[in-house]
This record gives sequence, C-alpha cells and structure tokens, in this order.
Amino acid sequence: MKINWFGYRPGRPNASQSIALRVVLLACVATMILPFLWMVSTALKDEKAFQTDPMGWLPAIPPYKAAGTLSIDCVRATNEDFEDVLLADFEECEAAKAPKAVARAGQGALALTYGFPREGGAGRAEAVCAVKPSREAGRATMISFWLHGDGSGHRLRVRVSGKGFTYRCGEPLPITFEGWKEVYCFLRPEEFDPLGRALLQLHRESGGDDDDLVPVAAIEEVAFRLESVSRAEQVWARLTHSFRVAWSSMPFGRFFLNSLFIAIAVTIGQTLTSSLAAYAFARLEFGGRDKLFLAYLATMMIPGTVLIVPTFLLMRWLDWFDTYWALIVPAMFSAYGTFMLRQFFKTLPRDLEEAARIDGCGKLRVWYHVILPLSRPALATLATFTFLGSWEAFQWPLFATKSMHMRVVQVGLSSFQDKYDVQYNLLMAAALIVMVPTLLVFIFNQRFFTRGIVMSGMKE
Amino acid sequence: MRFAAIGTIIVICLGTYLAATRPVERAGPGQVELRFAFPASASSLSSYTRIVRRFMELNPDIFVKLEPVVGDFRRAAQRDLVANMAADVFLSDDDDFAVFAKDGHYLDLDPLIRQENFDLDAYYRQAVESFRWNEKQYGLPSVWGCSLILYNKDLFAEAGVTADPLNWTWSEFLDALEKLTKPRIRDGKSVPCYGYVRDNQAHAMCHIWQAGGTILQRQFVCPDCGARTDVSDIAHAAEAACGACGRNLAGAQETYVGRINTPEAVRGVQFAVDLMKYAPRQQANNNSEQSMNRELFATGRLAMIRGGPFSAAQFKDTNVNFGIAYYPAGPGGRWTRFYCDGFAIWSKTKHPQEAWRLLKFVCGPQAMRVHAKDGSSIPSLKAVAESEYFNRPDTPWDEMKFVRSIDHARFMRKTPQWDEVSSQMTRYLDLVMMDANASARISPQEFGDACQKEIDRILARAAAQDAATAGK
Repeated sequence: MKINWFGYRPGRPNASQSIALRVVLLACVATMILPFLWMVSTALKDEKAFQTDPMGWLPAIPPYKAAGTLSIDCVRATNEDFEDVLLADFEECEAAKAPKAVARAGQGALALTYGFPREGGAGRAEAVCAVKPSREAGRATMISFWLHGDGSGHRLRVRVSGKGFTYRCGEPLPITFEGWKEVYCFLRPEEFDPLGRALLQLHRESGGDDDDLVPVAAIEEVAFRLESVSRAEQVWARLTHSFRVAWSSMPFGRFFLNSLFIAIAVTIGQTLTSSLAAYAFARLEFGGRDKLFLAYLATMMIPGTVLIVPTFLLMRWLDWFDTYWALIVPAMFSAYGTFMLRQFFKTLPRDLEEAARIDGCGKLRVWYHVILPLSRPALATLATFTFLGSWEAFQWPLFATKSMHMRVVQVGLSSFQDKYDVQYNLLMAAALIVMVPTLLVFIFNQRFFTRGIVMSGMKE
Repeated sequence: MRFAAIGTIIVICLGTYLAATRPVERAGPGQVELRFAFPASASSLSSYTRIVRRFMELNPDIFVKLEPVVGDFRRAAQRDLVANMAADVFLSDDDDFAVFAKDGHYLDLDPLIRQENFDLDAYYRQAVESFRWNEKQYGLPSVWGCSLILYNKDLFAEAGVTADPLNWTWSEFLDALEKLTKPRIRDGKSVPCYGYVRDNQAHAMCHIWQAGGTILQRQFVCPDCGARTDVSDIAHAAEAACGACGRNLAGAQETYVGRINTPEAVRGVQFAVDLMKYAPRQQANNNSEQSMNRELFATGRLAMIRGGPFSAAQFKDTNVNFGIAYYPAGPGGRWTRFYCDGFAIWSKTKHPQEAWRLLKFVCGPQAMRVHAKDGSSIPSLKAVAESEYFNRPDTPWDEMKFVRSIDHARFMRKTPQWDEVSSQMTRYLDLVMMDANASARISPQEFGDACQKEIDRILARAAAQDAATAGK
C-alpha cells in the first residue's frame, strides 16, 4: 500500500507545500547552524562574559571612552629566582582611590588620566613613577603592577629605565578588561604567555641586548603611556581578544604548519598507495586477488583505537616515535581509499586500457597515463576525505609525539582544558582558527563529498 | 597531476622549513640530558618554561628537555612507563602515585635524602606523605589543595546568617542553608536560589570523616604478635605502637580494611543526603554539574560552592562578593580532603643524581614562588605558603585561610585499589542521592552495606593477587 505522507503528491508542489517545505528546510538549517554560531559568538567574548546572567548571543562592547582614569598600584620587580621586590606602592598618591583589592597594599594609586579627542583622534597620556627598590635582590626579569582597566581598548605602553638602560614595549597592551588585573612585563624574551593574564614583552632599547639582565637596584623609573585608539580599533581589539590570547598562549603557528605538512603529505601518499592498490585489485589478474581484496577490506572493520598500541610498538621499533615519519607513514595506507578507487576503476572502459597495451604501454604506464587521468573526480574525492581526516586526527598524533614542536593543531586545542577547567572562549577561538583550512577544503570540494558516498556504493 | 606536483612542492618546502626551524632540544657537549614531563595546560607550560630555564642557568652541566603532556597525564605516563621511555622526572599526583609506586616505577629517594640531609620537614606533613609508599619516599610534593567553601557574603547578610563560616557546625550549616535556599527576585522575576551544591563521592567522604567514620582504615600488622592496629594515614610504622603488645611497629606490614558501613560512616552519608534539598537538581554527571554550579554562583543564585584557591582565582573577575568558609564540624570533628601534586624520578633513569637536582629545584622555593604567585594552588613548602608570595597583599580574600585549612585537611592514602573503590562508591552514591520517590533509591545504610561488600571483594582480590605475586 502506498502511504501518502502529509498529503504529499509527486510532481510540482503547490504554494502551501512549497512554503512548508522551505520552512522545514530552514528549521533544519537553523538547527545545524546554531551551535556553530554560538561557537563564533563564544570566541568573540572575553572570560567575564561567561559569568553574566543571562548569557547573550552578542559580545558586550562598552561605549567609546574618550576620557577617563586608569589606576596603577603595587609596582614590583621579579628577579631570576622569582623573588619579588616592591618598587612603588603609591601610599601618598590620592589621585584615585583604589578599591580594597589593592588598597591593602597602599592607600592610593598612581593615576593615568586621559582625555582624547572623541572617536579616533590621536592622543597620548603619560604617567611616570620614580621607583626605589625596597631592597637589593639580584637581576630583574619581570616588572609587574596592578592596573584598574576601564575596558576602553586604548593601548598601554610601558617603559622601564635606569642608569644606562631603557626597556620599551614591543606590542602594546589593549585595555580590554575592566577592574583590577595584574599586568606582567617581561624583561627577557618569553616563549609562552600565561593564560588569562595581561602581558607585555619589553625589549632592551639601549645598554645591551634582551638577554642582559639589569640589577633590580638599577631601575629608576617606570613610565606608563596610554595611546588612543579609534572606535573601530576598540571594537576590533575587544572582538579579537580571545583569538590573540589563544594564539599567543601556545606555539600555534608551529602546530598549524605541522598539521598542514602532515595533512598534505598523507593526502599525497594515501592517494598514491590507494590508487596503485586499487589498480591492482581492479585490473591485474593474479591468484587469490579477490580473497586478498576481501581480507584487505575486512581491515576496515577493525576500530582504529585497537590498532594504536601495535602501531605504537612498531613506531618504537623503527625508532620513529616523535618524528614526522610516525605521523605520516601509518596514515598513508587506507583500505577505504583502495576500495573506493577500485570501485571507480572498475567502471572505466577496458578498451582504452587495451589500446594502450597494444601501443606498448606497460602496466605502470597504463596506470599513470590512462587510469589516473580518467579518475580525477575519484582521486579528488579521496584527497578531500584524506586531507580532512588527517587534519582532524587527534588520537594518533597525541600518542605518537611528545615534543612541543611536533604537536598538531588538534592536540594543541586540548591544552585549553585542564584537570579542573575549560577556557571556553579561548578554546572556541582556537577551534575557529583551526577550522579555516577545513572550511576552505569543504567549500571548494563539497561536490566530492556526495560523489564519494555515491562511488563507495557503486555497482560493478 | 598538476595538483599532485604542487602538493609535493609544498610538502618539500614545508618539510625543509620545519626541519630547519626545529628547536635544538639536545644536550650540548659535556651536558647531561634530562627529560621532564608535566601536564601541558597553557599556564603550566609558561611556569615550567621559566622554572626550568632558571634551573639550567644554575646547572649548566644539565640540559632539560621539556615534555608537556596534553590530555590525560596518567594515561600518558602509563604508556611511557610500559614502553620504557618515561621522562627522568615527571609529575605524579596522589591519585596515581600508589599504583606506580607499587609497580616499582619510581626511584626510592631515601638514599638521596639521607645523603644530603634533605629537610622534608620544610614541607607540610600531608604533602610529604602523599609521596610515601611502604615506608619509602618516592617523590617530593609541589603544590596542594583541599576542598573548602566559597560563600556569597551578600546573600549571607541578606538571609541573616550569623554563624561563623570558619567555625560552624553541622546544625549551624543546615540552619544557614534553610535560610539561604529560597526564591529571590532578579530583574523583576522570581528565580530559585540555592544554598549549596550536590556532593560527589570525594566530598561525601569528608562528611563521613566529619561524622567520625572512615572508608578505608589503615592498619599495621604487628611483626611480633600479628595483631592489627588502626593507624592514621600519615603515621609511620616506626612511630606507632602495637595496640595489643605495645611494641614498636617498625617493619610492620601495612594493610587496609573497609569501614564504610559503621554507624558513623552511615551518619555522614545521611548528612550528605540531607544537603540535597538545598542543592540545584542533579545533572547528568559531575563535570556538567561543576560548570553549572559555577554559573549559578557567579550570578548570585547559589550561596555556597565548593572550592579552593583555584576557584577563588576564577571568581575574582566576577561581581560576587565572596568569602572563604570551612566545612562544618560534625560529631567527628572538622575535616576536608587533602590532595597534592608532586614530582618523582623514574626508577630506570640513567642520571639519578642529576634528576634529583632537578626534582629538588622543581619542588624547591624558586619554583614554589612561581606557583604561589599563580595562586591556583597552595605551595607545599611551608615558608613559601605562609609568605607574601602566596598570601598576596593585593587580593580581596585572605589566602591564609587556605593555608590554615591544613589543620583539618585529611590526607587519605589512596591504595592501588582506590580507583575501583571510588567508582563503586560513586555508583551507589548516585542511588542514595536519587529523588525521595525514585524506586531505585537506597538508604544510607544500604549504601554502606553495598559499598562494604564491594570493598571487601576488591581488597580480598588484591590480597590474593599480592600473595600469588609473592609466591612466584
């Protein structure tokens, strides 16, 4: 019996059916796309946005501030043995009263008052404090201070100077946060930034290079300079906050290149090995060919997780652990790729191949000059699948590498969650960055996805 | 083919670039290479990069290769130990310590400690004990933590709670919860507000202690008369006396027995169940519950949340005016759980002396200052924990409250079977904490009896395995 679902009749739908169909499709699209939009929205927020009720879709951007006051307190130097020395706590300064958070250390704070032309004119404000180390304690590696931010997005630069030396900021610090926050100014080059902290990397401008540390006792002055930004720059700084912190908290550049290198190498390798194997299984005649193919195909039934330990042992035996070989070679062979290409090769007319053989081509030349050019769609499909699979691989790269410089992006992403907590905004920002190549490959090759599925089920 | 050629060129160029820019992570001439493994959260990566750099400056004969481990550190350590490729010095926490110590993966530090009279008394006793197994020291502590309570001062004032949250008792705690759990008006709408959160297995354990009970009782078997004497988890055999013959128990065998169905333990579980009506409804699992509770607390709808230094650092950016409270005291006293991270040396290291130098440094005062300033856990070195590095003059809360909680922070020695015991307890705790009308719900006494049965089975099986291993 033929069931007539919802009064549907084959043929051209009428207007109401058409509208209903579109509504259903739009609802499906919305269901699928909402989590992605939430991910984008999360990446654009800062840490504080997760502690508001109710959580909004859009990141909160404060109004433009052309005038205001930042408060600075408890300026300290840290020496090589991580000992702190108080440089200034502004007890006499009454320009801006610090809240209890900082008032415990001093009665007031240094005021950095600014008044910039509205909406984007250039302007600067500066506050300088002469400092006196409370004791002599080695050489300074870091200057830290508490800053009461106003979320204005204006950029703070710090200069540390003394007898015969001056340290200046490389990248300024956008004041995207509100309330008190400790700001760290590294005087020697640091590889990674601690999460959630406001950081400045200072460079020695005169009197030596970055690795020559100066005695804490020699520091005489710390100057704070606020540079105005336009409204557009303020919004940009706010929206890209999570992206900047995520990118600088890990060597993501290296992770990115590692992933790219491995994904492309695996794609080329797997396409090559699969097409050779598929050609053999589709065209060459040898005893037990089909049984061998079935056996090879049966390996698809074995979950990848089960293979991790034996593959790991093999990599150890070959001394490939923590090398690119371990990440590329095991992924270069695929039963799925072989199966898919074999099915495709079987649909190609044998006449072309026989003509080439009559012209004197060997088996390898037939594969290269006849089979491969005719199989471009299938090869592109396989390449797309392989690239995406390799880019998204997590478990094996996690298992097969140890060194930081060998990590791939997917492994790097998991660093934003530790034993106790997940940094959602940073995780989502990093995930968005990582998604870019995947999205590009998908956008340009989406037709191969459906084709790949069709080809896998193709009859001989 | 064009794409294949382009791809090949990219692979060659990228490969060459990556090989050329690969950081030099090998020891120079005359240097000993040590490998150092730790969990790779972004903050620990930054801390240990700086700590190890300083160590290498002070010890130019040693090169330390950092091995930050992403994901489950315990699984990664197991892999490395089994594959015979563990780092020379690696992180250990009290959850996995006993398992690895029992299997002989850690270097016995006692000879090194004796060799230079290394002062273990500089660390908190519970922290040192966390890395002791079968009367041998296998690791040094780094940072510790314990479960405390953060409370919303404004909600307390509004509800008229007057009990001292550092000295309260079970009844005062329940009284406070009664006042705090009620709907409140937020933005013109009535929203439910809660007093406390659901306790999981680790925290129900604290209530069992507060009631005077315990889960696993540690005992020493007297080598002379064979009698078993109950001892605390931090007692040393050489300091204990046999309860039967009164002789010193030096050299006594250590054993454990389940005690979870005693009236005291059951009373503790009953207290945990009594707290349920002041908590938001249960979530699917502990992880989802934690994030939901954090949101409720940050938005002023939850008056108290379990937490420690880590949580305080997390909530400092919120608008919540919070204070630090201790767990309430029950009939058995005031207790909370103690947990600790530390480092140990791989038993197969080729450079034990150099590894010992590194171990001392990463658990020494310099490294502790870095952790102290990070503020998310308490340094194990007393001098640093009680200094300005941890007790920051510039934070709104008093960190010394965390430090002083050491007086009632109880270290529970986690035997190699603890994981299994704990998962069984979790399973039954889910049943005891079900809604009152749920058919599968069990009573606290049934919980105690069921857990006791499981613990007896687990311990008996472990004893049989040990006997079989000893027989071989």
